[in-house]
Amino acid sequence: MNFTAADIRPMALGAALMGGGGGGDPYLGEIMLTSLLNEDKHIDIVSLDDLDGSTQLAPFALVGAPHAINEKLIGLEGIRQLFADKSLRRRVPDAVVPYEFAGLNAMYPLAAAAVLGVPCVDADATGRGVASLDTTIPALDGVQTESFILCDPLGRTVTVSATGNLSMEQLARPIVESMGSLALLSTSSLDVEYCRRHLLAGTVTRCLELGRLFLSLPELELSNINDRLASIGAALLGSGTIVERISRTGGSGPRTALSVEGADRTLRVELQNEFHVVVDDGIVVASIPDIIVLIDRETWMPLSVEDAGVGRHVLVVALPAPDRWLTPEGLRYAGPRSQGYGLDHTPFSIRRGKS
Amino acid sequence: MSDLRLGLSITEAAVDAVIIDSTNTCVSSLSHEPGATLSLSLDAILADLGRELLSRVSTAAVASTILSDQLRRVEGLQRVGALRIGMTSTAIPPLSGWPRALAESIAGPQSIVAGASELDGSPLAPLDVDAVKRFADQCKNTVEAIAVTAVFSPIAPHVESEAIAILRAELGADIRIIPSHLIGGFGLLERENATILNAALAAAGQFVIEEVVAALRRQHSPADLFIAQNDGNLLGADVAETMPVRLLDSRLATSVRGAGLISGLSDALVVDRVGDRVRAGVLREGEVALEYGISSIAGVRMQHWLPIGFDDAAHGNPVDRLRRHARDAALLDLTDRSSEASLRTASAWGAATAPVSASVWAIVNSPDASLTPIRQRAIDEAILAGADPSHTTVVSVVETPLSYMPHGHRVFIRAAGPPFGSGSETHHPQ
Repeated sequence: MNFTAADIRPMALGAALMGGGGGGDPYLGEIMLTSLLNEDKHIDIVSLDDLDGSTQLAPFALVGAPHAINEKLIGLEGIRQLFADKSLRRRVPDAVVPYEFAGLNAMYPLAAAAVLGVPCVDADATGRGVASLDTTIPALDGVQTESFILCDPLGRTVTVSATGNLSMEQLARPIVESMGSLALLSTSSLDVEYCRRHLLAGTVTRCLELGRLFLSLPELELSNINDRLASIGAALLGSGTIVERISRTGGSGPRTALSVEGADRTLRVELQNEFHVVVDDGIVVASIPDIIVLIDRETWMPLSVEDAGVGRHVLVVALPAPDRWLTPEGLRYAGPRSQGYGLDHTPFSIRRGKS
Repeated sequence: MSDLRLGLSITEAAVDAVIIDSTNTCVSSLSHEPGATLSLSLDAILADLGRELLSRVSTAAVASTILSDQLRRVEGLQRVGALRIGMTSTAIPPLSGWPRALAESIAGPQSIVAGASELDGSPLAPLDVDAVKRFADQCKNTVEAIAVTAVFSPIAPHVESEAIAILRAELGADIRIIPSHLIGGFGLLERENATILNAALAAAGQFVIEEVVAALRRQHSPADLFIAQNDGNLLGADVAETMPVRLLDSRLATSVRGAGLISGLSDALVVDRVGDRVRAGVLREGEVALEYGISSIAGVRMQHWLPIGFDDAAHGNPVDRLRRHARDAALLDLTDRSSEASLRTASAWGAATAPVSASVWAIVNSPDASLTPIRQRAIDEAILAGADPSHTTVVSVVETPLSYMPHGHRVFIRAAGPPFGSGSETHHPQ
C-alpha cells in the first residue's frame, strides 16, 4: 500500500497504543513523516510475501531514553550514515523493516524508507513495545542477528557482535548511554527467508487498523466501547481517576504502582518502562505480554508511563499480544516473570455488551 | 492602613473589579461593559471605585484574556527569528506543527546550528559561532525579537547565553532576545514553541501591563501590580512583562478560585461563558484543580500547568464531560441568571486572592541526590516573582522516575506565597 498523509494520524495513534506506555511519543514521527510526504517522498508498505527472494533488508530502530529524545529530537542524517563506508553494511538495503513497531520506533522506519527510497516491509520483530533489544521473536527462536550497528546523532558508529554470555541488550545499552542515550540501530543484513520465518508479518497494517479503530472511540458511549474493542480481541478493564502513584527503587531498577479509582472498584497498575500488570481487588486481570494501555479521557490519547500522573482520568484497556509471545517459551521471554513479577501470565477476559 | 486588595478581570465582554479586605470580605464590586480602548475601560472602572478606596489598596491583580484573544485572531504579534542550537534535531525544524496563519505571521529567519549539551551538561559540540553570526545577519531589520533554544539548556543555560552575546554584538542592545532556559521545562520542541510565542507576544504583553500601571497611577493608586498566569497564580508585573506566554488566559483559573470563595464551597464544577467561548473547570478542596502536561493553546503545542477543564468555542454542555472529576460536586454557572450576582465577578475575586507562585523542574541523576537546593531555587524564584519572602513555602513536590535512566528522576517543585505589596504590613490569610 501507498502510505499517505491521511494515514499519519491513525498510524501514530496505533503506534502509541502498541507501545503499552513505552516506545516514545510518536508526535515527532508525525511531524517528520508530514514533512517528508510534503517533499513528495513516497512510502510504500509491502508484504513479506511480495518480496523477491534476493531482497536484502535492514531493520531500523531508535534506542535510548525518552528524556534524551525529547530534548535532542531527531535527524535523518544517520539513516544514510549506517550504509556509508562501514564494514558491516556497505550498500543501501533493498527494503527497510521495523524492529519494534511501537511509539516513535514505529514512525522512524517509515521515514527511513522514504529517505532511502526503498519500501518498508509490513512486519516487525516484536509486535509490541519492549524494554529490551533481546525481547524479540528472532531471539525467542534462537536466531538473533549476531551483529548490530549503532549510529549516534553526531555520526559516531559502533558495531557490536554478541558472543559468549553477554546479550545484545547488555552490550549495546551502555554504548547507547555513552552516546548520550540516543542512537539509531540496524543489524547485519537480513534475507527474505529469515524475515518470513522469524518476524511477525502484518504488524504495520495491524497498527494502522488499531489507530483507526481508536479514533472512532470518542464518539461512542462507554457501554459500546466494549463491543468495539471486543471486535479486535481487546477489552476495557476499567476506568477511573489515578489517585495514587508510588515509586520505589529495588534491585532491578525503579518500579511504580498506580491506583486507578473507579465508581465501583479500584484497579492497581504495575509499571516499569511499560505498563505490566493490572490487578483488580487482588486478582490479576491482565499482564504482559498482552499490551496494557491507559487512555486519557480528555484527549483520548494513550499515556506514557511517565505521564500517567495523579489526577488523570483514564480508561484501562488490554490489547492482545501476538500469538508467538503467548507460547510457553514466549511467556518465559516476555511474560510477567521476565520483568521480575512473581506471577504467571493471566489472559484477560473479553466482555461483550454493557459493562 | 493599606490592607486592601484589588482584583480586575478583563475580557472582550466585560471588565470586572472587586476590592477585598484582609478577611476576604468584599468591600466593593463593579462590572462594566468594556470601553473603546483598554485605557478607557480601566479609567472608567477605577474612577467608579473611587480614589479614597484605591488609596488603601496595597496590591492589584489582573486576570485577562487579552493575549489569548489576540493570538487566536493573529493580531499584534511581533516577527520572531528562531535560533536553535543542536544539530541532532534537524528533522523537526522550529515552528513544526504550528497553525499556518500563526506561523506565517510571526516567522522570521530560522536556523539550526551546532552546539549545545548532553543530558549530563557536558558539551555536545562547540557552538558554531560563524553560523550564529550568519543568522544575526539575516535578522537585521527583519525581526523584532529572537528566540534562542539549545538542546538541554535547562541543564546548561550558558550555551544560550553565549549565543545571545554574539547576537547582541551583531545586532545591538535594542532587539529583544529570549533564551529558552528562562521559559523553562524539558522537551525541546515545547520549550522552543513557548519561547517563540513569548517573543511574539512581548510587545503586546508589555502594552497591557503598562496600560494597567498607568491607569492605577492616574487614580493615584500606589498599589503594586500583579498579573494572573494561565494556572491562576500571580506574577509581579516586572517579571510578568518578560513572560507573556504565561499570561495568555487566566480567566478560567481565577474564576474557579473566586467562585469557591464567593460560594463558600470547597468542591464545585465552575462554568463561565464569555462571548463565544465557554470555559469550565474544577474546584477541588478549595483549590483550582490543575494538570501538568502537553496541551495546545491556539494550536501551539506546549508543556505547562493548566486548569483541568475546557476553554473552547461554545458548544454542547461541558459539564457532562467534567462530571467524572467531581461526581457529587455542586455546579456553579457564573453566567446563569439564577446564580448569585456576585458570582459574575468571580474571576476578579480569584485574581485578588491568588498567591504568587513559581515552579522549578530539574533532573536528578543519582539515587541519593538532595532536593534541598531545588526547593530553595523554587522559593527564590517565587520571591523574585513577587511573593512575600517571610511567607513563601514549598507547596508541591512531584518526583517521577525516567524510563531507561536507572537513577534518573524528573523533579517538579512549586513554591508559593502571598503577593508582597510595598504597603503590605500583614500577610494575607490563605
